This record gives sequence, structure tokens and C-alpha cells, in this order.
Amino acid sequence: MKHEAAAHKDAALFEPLLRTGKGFYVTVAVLVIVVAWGAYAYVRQLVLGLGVTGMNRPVFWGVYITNFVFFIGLSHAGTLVSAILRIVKAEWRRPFTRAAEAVTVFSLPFGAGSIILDLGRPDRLLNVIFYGRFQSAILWDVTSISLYMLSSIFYFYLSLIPDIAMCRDRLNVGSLRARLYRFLALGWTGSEHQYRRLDRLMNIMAVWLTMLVVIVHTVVAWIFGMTIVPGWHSAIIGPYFLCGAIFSGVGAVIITTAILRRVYHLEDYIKPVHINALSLFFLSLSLLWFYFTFVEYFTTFYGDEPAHMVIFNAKFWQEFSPLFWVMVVCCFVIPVVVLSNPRTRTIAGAVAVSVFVNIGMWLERYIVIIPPLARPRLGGIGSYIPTWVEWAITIGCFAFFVLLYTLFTKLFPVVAVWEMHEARQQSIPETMERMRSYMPGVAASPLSKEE
Amino acid sequence: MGEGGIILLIVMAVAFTVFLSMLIWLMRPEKEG
Repeated sequence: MKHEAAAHKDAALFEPLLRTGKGFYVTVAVLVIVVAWGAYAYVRQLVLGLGVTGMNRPVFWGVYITNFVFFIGLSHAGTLVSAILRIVKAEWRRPFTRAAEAVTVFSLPFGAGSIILDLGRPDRLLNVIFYGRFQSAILWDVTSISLYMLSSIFYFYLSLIPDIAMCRDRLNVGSLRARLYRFLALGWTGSEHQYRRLDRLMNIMAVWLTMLVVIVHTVVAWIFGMTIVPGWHSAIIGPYFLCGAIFSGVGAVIITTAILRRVYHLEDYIKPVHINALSLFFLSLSLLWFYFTFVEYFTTFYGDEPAHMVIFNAKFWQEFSPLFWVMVVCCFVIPVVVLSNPRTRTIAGAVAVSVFVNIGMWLERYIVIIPPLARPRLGGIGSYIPTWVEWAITIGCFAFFVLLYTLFTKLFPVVAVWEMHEARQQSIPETMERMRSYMPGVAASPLSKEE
Repeated sequence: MGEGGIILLIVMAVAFTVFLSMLIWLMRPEKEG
């Protein structure tokens, strides 16, 4: 059967599922300790109330809402790398798709969960269901994120089914894991018609998810943009947030694939040429992000409206200026300097840039949210300093994300085995045929259709 | 339940039904002939 042949050729991709070194247990133990620390901080917040955080009047949103926007942004990585590149038939996407989709599925719960952390009383989330009104941007937000989460999980699962079936048929594992594979494989046989149908479904879902990414992040941005708060009320906040989300998401994909490559010895699958292609795309996103940033702030500066200039000055020259300029260096200066030079556009260079970009993008979310609250339209100056509880919960969330990802890599192949097989069997001849059809003066293959 | 609950319920129910139908279609055996 087709999937058996794939499993034989790509045996290296099943190795991490069968052999576990000491490093894995140490990593998991450290992550569990950090998550437990975060959980302790959350219990403390739950018992004592939001008074243990730095949030106050008028700065009623802080690190949790920053995390909310950041994690939702991170989640767009999977859709972008997997769905959009699938639609445009970019063949170099194949070693990344699984890792990227996993970033989406594991980061989304922390994005949505950050709202619950911010509520103080989690039961009040039900108010959206009982009292939510159609005019409320929060309602659109909850609806679009819930739909995005369900769609992403489904897309992720669809692409996992053939590989789960390979695990079921090939791996000699304990009865619990064997039963899990049997259950999740849903009786997949790997027949030609199943692969044909899977391909059609994946294409439909790719288009659907691409649309959802645009909707979700625009709606997230509208939570701010639909208010008349200076600094938030801007027509480009939707596309600006979307661009930033894809930017940080691609960075997260570069970091995760580079780590997986090193830890699981996937050098034959994830090659420098792949990272190079992703790096060039990353560089173009950096330029696009800078363009949006420039347009946003230059329009404010030129308009010179007093209420807007208060926020502008706070970001450019006053108390938020260190964060603002660090953001510009991390998201624009470093990516352009490192990635535009072929000598530094290596795997290590791309990973370093990705780390800086993600720090910069987190800061961007922070300085979008906090300064307009600290300089209210009616006057006065507010301040906000996050407490250890907020940092502990934030670090706990990131550790939990990494923990889930790590456990996932021990249960399922981190590179889509069936997609690699499909590339060898179908995509190479198809791509050659496509090239022939573009090029004048090249003899058409006898397989191509007569015009 | 308010407007919010109704909208959320309808959207999620439709999405869940569509995805489940897709899975059933994917796994359905091919017809002979």
C-alpha cells in the first residue's frame, strides 16, 4: 500500500517516537516546574483577586491582553506556512507544515485563555453567552476565535490521519499508544481514493483557513480599533495587526523547525535551502511591518491632533520610548541587517533574528495596548508595572506551550510523512510539467493535453 | 441565553456538522464499479 512505502522510506521520521533520551525527561521536568509556578501564581490571583496584578485605573489591561494578541498572532504561523503555501503550490513548504500547524493548535488555547486570566473571575466569560450583544466587538472576537480554533484543529487532524495510520501499522509500542493510534486513524487504509479525497479536503480547508486568519486578526484588532481611544482608533490597525501576526508566526516556525532539526537529526528533511526560502519571506515581512509602522505614526505626527500626539510623544520620547525603539531595532534593523546578507542568512542567523522579532512583536503589542490607557483622553497620567504574578503566569503559559509541543513530538511525526511521499511521487513530475507549459521553446511532454 | 450565545451556538454547530460530514466522506468506502 502507498502509505507503507512512505513509512519505509522515511523511517528516520519515526525514530523520535521510538527512542527517548535523558534530555527529553529533563526538558519535560523543567517545563513542568515552570508551569507549576505559573499555576501557583494563578491560584493566588484567583483567591486574592486582580489586586495582586499591576493593573489599575486607568490602565485596566496589561500583560495578559498583550499575551492574548501575541499568542493569537503566533497561531497564524501554521495557517500561513501550511495553508497559503499549499494553495500557491510552494513545494518547499512540505517539511514545515506539520511543525507550523502544531504552533497554531498549541498557541491558540493560550491566546483565548489569556482573556480568562484577565477576567479575574473566569465565570464571567459566560456573560458573553448570556448577555453578549451583536454590536459588541468582544462577541465577534469570541465567535471568530472559537471557529478558528475548531477549524485549525480539524485541519491539523486531517493532515495527521495518514501518519497516524502509519504509526498504527508500523510502530511496535505499548498497548495504550497502540490503542490511541488505532482510534485516531479512524480506519484509514491509505488507498488511492482516500488520498484523492484527502487532497481535496485539505485544499478546501486551506482556502477556508486563509480567509479565517484575515477575519480573526482583524477582529482582534477591532477590539481596540473600534473604540475612539487615541492610539487605537485607526483604519489600518486590522492589517497592521495581521502583518505583525504573520511576521511573529513565521519567526516561531523558524525557531521550532531549527530546534526539531537539531534535536531529532532531521538534517535530510529540513535543509538550509528551506530556511533560506523562509528567511527571505521573513525579510519581506519585516519590510512590510516597517511600512505599516511608518504609515501609522507618520499620519499621526502630520495630523498633529493634541489627543493623539500625547500618545505619540509617550511612545517616541517619553516613558515608553525605550520599549518603542527596542521594538524597532528587533523587528526592523536586526532582520534587515542579518537577512539581507547571504553570508549571515544561515540557519543560526535566521533563528537569532526570529528570537529578536518575537521579542520585538511582544513589545509592539505591549506598546499598542498600554500607552493609550496610561494617557487617558480626559487627562491625567496612569502607570503600570507588571507584578511577579503576571510574569509568573506569562512564563508559565509559554512553558506550557513548549511542554505541549514537546509531548506532541514524541507521539506523532514532526514532518508530514505522507506529504513527503506525495512530493516524491506526484509533485516533482507535476512541477516539471508545469515548467514545460510556461517556457517557450521547450518540447511539451507527451502527457500534456493538446490545446 | 442572549444574542451572543445564539450566534456562537449556531456558528459552532454549523462548523462542527460540516467538519464531521467531511470526515465521514473521507472515510466512506469507494463504490464498486
